[in-house]
Amino acid sequence: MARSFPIAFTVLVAAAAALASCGPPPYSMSSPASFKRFEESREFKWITADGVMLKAREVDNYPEAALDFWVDAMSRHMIAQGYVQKGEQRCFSTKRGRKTCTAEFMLPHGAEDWVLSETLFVVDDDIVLVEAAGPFDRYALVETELQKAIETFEPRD
Amino acid sequence: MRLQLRRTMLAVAGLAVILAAFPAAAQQKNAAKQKQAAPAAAQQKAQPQAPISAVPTPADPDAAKGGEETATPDATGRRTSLESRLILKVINPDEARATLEKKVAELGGFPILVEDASLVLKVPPEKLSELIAFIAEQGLVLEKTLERADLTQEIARLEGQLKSKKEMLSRLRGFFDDSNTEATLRIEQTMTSIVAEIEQIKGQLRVAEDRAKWAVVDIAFQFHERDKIVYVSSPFEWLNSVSLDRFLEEF
Repeated sequence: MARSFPIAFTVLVAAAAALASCGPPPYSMSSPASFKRFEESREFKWITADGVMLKAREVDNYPEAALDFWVDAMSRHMIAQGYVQKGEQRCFSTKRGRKTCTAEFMLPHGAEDWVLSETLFVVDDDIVLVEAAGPFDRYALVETELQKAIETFEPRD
Repeated sequence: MRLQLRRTMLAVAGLAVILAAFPAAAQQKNAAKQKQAAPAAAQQKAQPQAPISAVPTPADPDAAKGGEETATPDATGRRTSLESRLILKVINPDEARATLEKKVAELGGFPILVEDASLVLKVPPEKLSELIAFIAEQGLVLEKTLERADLTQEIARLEGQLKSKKEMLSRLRGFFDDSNTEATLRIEQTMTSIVAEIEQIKGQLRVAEDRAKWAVVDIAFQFHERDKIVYVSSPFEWLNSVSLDRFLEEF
């Protein structure tokens, strides 16, 4: 009986972890009008009818640094690769008071010029990236509603 | 007969001396002009690219008209060419193109190239900053460059050459009276070649003066270089995962 307890505990923890990984992504955001969410996906993904995409993911905040540091590092890295920064980076607080910054970059892709938008949230050991991309003309049409939706984004439920 | 031969020889010798002396004189004259212009040109070169608002403007762009037009110099007496290149992102390029064509006509300019992805406009130099400000209002300006070249020396050199060739031509005309058939033919040949040179110089002068008279604005609605992105590794590991290709691949 004493031996079976650790085994049962391990199984329980493993099952809980598996359930957690199968569950919905730990983010929330009000729905931008032109976007549809991939409800069944384990990832946080949205798309418009004409193909503007939005996705959130996490990376390690390593070496641990603040939001300003990472936004600066990202802008420099993207520009060094040949991306053109589209306007100034925009730093703001979400509706729940979480600080974040958005930087948008442009690049030629196929026969079109595309926009890649990166919004960064620093949450303890993680950096949450909200990424959006689309051809310039189509992205421009949903840019405002996208910005409003990102203002409601929450990295943790 | 002997006297006539002697006169002919004298005329040819005189002609040869004049022909030899004129280019040398013209060269000396040009060298002196260049020497005078050199410090000013060096000063111009050392100056950083002028902001658009500081662009010198001709006092009267319409003064350069007629057969031998001269470009109007700016307030400092210098003649410059201005060329601006912009990458403008707009949602509807057709609409933007039509708006820009209308505006350039209002400013006294005209389009010289109209394509799906680009537009090249010519505008009086004093209207350049107004046009660029208007272009910026139409969309998102991703890149903007302004090239300014000093044409003063080039125009002065061409004008000097033209003057000396014309003087040479009028002197040659004077030799007709005292020359025989053979000498006349030689003089005619020389004059034909000088006339051709004069026309060539006039053409070069017209081109240079046109460059000084109009500012050129080259607007592209798309990136010029489509293979601009290069992979650069970052010491911050996660930054290496930020790219459009990876985003599209993993979506």
